[in-house]
Amino acid sequence: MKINEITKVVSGKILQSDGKNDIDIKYAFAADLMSDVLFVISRKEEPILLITGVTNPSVIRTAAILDISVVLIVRGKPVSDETIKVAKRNKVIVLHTNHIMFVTCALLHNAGLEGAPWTIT
Amino acid sequence: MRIFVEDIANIGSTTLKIKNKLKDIVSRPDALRRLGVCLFESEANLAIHSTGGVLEIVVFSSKISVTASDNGPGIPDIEKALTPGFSTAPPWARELGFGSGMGLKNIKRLSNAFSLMSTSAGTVLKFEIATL
Repeated sequence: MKINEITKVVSGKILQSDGKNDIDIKYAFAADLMSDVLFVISRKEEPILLITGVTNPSVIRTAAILDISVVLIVRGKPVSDETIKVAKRNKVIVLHTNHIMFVTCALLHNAGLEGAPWTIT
Repeated sequence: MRIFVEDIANIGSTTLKIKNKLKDIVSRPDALRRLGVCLFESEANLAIHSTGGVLEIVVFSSKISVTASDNGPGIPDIEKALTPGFSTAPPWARELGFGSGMGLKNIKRLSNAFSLMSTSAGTVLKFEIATL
């Protein structure tokens, strides 16, 4: 699913667009704990969408470390200039929606996104 | 490379700097990502649980060796600390998105060699990531 389509599905907007704009995303992972996000290690180079309600710059750094190119902020939370600055520097695209996380995930799953492959072992 | 870590607000920035520096040296993307995650977890542990510490990264031809050391207060029960979900992180760390109690286990499962020693005088975590 392209970034513009994701934005449309969640009735959202693009806050920061510097990055891999043409990627086709198949998988998503939703969490507010970055420690959990750090468990998302796919052996394949599959583009993953990170859905979260946390807006501090550490979220962007977590995404960059995991080679996640797109972060979708939920619950309409305001995103600071510092977070956008870090996202620009690391070429992480930032999307924003007013939907809660549950609804966001449901909308994107219905539209074709699958859960990111991950393991806890 | 030796880096001092104590900054809570910038958790992850040290790891990103190291990862970017090693991009030209480590050709396998999966190894670079595993290294990044293990470094990030170590950096977060130093920033959250210690009074400040040092990350030491040594690059070999076939692996990267990392030592994360601090001056305390130490881990009272290492076995417990390695139990998934067990965490002593303060509420402010959770608000930043850390402290789910998976960090040390994550480093252990992603690294090719792992050791952890701790006393009240300090903790020394060592891990290696194979790069070939």
